[in-house]
Amino acid sequence: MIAGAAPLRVLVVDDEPAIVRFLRTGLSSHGFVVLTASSGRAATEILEKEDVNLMILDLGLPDMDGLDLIIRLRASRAMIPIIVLSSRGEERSKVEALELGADDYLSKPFGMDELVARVRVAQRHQLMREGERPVFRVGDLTVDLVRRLVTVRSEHVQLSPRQYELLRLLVQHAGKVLTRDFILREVWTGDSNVQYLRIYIRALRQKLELHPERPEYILTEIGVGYRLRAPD
Amino acid sequence: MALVVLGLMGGSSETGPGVGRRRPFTWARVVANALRARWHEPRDDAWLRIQRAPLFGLEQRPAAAMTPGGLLSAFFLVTLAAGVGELSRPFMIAGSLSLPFLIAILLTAIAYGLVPSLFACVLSVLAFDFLFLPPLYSFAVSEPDDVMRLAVFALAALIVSNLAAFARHQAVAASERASIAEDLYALSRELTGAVTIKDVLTSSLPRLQSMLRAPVLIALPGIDGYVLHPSSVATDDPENERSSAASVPGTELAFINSLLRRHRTADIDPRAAIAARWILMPMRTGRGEVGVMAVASEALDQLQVPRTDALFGTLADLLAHAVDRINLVDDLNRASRAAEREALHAALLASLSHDLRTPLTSVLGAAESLARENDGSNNEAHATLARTIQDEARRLDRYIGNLLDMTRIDTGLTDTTTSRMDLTEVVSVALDRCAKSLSHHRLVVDLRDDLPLLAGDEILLEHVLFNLLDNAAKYSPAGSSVALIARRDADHVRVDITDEGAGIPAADLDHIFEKFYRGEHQGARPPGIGLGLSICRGYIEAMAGTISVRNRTDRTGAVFSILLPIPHDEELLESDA
Repeated sequence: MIAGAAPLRVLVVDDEPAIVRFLRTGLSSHGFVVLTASSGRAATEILEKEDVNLMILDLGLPDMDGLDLIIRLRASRAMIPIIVLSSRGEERSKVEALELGADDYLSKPFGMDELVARVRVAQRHQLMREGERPVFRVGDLTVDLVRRLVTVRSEHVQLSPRQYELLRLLVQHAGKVLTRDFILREVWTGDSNVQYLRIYIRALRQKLELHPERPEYILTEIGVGYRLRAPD
Repeated sequence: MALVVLGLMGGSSETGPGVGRRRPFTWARVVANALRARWHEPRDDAWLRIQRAPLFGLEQRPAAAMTPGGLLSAFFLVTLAAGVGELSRPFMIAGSLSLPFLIAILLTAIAYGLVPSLFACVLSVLAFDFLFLPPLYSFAVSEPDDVMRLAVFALAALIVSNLAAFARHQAVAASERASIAEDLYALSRELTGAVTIKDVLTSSLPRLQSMLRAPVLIALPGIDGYVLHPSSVATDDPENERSSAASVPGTELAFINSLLRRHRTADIDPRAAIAARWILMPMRTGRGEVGVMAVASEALDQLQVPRTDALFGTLADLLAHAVDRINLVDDLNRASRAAEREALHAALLASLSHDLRTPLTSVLGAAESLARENDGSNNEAHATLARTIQDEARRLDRYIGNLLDMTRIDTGLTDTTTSRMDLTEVVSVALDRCAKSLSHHRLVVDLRDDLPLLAGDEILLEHVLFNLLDNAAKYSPAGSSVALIARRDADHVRVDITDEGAGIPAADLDHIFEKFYRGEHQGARPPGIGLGLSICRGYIEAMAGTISVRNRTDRTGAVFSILLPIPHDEELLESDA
């Protein structure tokens, strides 16, 4: 928790009582205020009446598709972070949820530590939205967004303009998963191809990572996209 | 007189099914030609049938013309004409006395056809000469004038009989054509209404038989070879084969079947087949051949219409389109049923995955909380128990995943999205995921920089690599090396995953990718390998690759090799993008 701030209010939307109980216990113990809804309708009501800072959403709801709830929420310009819960084998709906505006996802079964880490990243992004941090640091990697300087293991790294754009996008969303389509839209306006992205990511890793085949900064989310390690 | 040849070959007395000799068609045709020259020979070889060429534009005579009744009637009519001539002799000049005979010939020709009328001609000429030409009551002719008269009369009689017979034949053929047209119309109407193949058979076969006045048979392709549907079997009682044998004997069916087998029907020339007992007409549509219609060649004798082959062709077309339409509808139904089944399977799998994993999430989460709470405290036993719950829940999750994946592969529902993937990236994710199980091994990763992008589904490939690495860790002792080496090799990329374990027993090498195969030597490899490797094979094959295993030759240990094709439009990874 960020010291001095009011406790984060998290809305858990899931129709599975056991999951809700587990999430309520786990999140409460980390100091979050937990609200729960077991249907899309109930979630909508709570979102209208209550002050909610973050939503954890199971895509399989009894009364509506979880994706529809995301669409409604984003259409109403509510910018609260959304973390989606899905099962392995549901990669399509996962990517779709991210494209529609969800901030992150977790595959079942997951641990409380993972969930809390994702919640923190999402929360940080919410707070950071107004102003970018001028200097980003994670491990041995430093990106100075003002002077456009990249250093890794105390050495200056020369990047091509597009490589830098790609890194900047990742830094701006550090800790968050970015879908391939999102990156392509942001960095390659117009003609874009997943193949380019793969080539640039590979080049970037060769310059930044000590072991490109075991990257520690630019992480691959298989079937979805990429995630830059969250700052320490 | 050539006309006399006609009709003599009529009458159908098949000598039965005992004739087992099979001869090639060309041979049969030669014999048929030879037999045609010796037209009056009785046929003892029943499966040769002689095709008669039309004479004077006439098709063959009906067999009814040969009955003694026609000849008797001719005799009676000529006698009557002679009587009329005798009675009218006082009122008429001698030349006009031939007129009653001409009327008799005309009537005979109209009523009984050509042969009786020719008989009437001969009788009339004789009677006219005997009764009315001097010297009377003698066949001798005295005056040259009378010779001329007799000759003219004979000629007139012949022309009249021919013309009348021809008119009669045309009339018969016209009514035959009309009834065939009616039959065709009725048949096509019935076929349009047919919903199943059985409908087609039950409605068309009896009609075809009555229309062609000969046994008809429809051969439809079955599981192996053709299934024959003879006209008499397709009626009401398909079980009563004994009664059906009366019209199309079993040996006859066997004969046709062998005929169809030997000549792929496309090669059968219907004209050549006419020489045999059956006329075969392939039933073809734009989509290809759907069956064969066979007509017993008796039909050629029975039918009074010209161009029977055109008629048979039309019938075969009608049947072909009906059968084809039903086949199309069947295919469509099958396809939509399959699609429904697939959608159902997919939905079932998705909800299974959700329903089985949701409780696991709760179990895992609760165990994790328990473990954390007990970690700091001195209750070591509780912490260990909580960790055990966690580990086993994770294992259960993997087994559930494997079962669902295998079901997806089996039902063809594997969700593959083919796009360009970077092998290095996929390897890194797999290594990351099995970091824990590989933590006690020495890991060697060798990926060449010149590896091209591959076409496939990275989720599936990651799953395969994870499984193989995890297996390598599981089946080799702590402290040994596990190596992953990827090389570009001509038109494919080869990934070798090598361990230093005990290797795979020779007896298991060929079966290790089979579903639920656990190995005959349970001691050598711990259980739990039942599905993992067959899923790996399913996924790699879905990406047009191959997976194989062998034992190391330099020391003990197994080598799993994956070969993935390099896409044709490959672009090498640029070193400086």
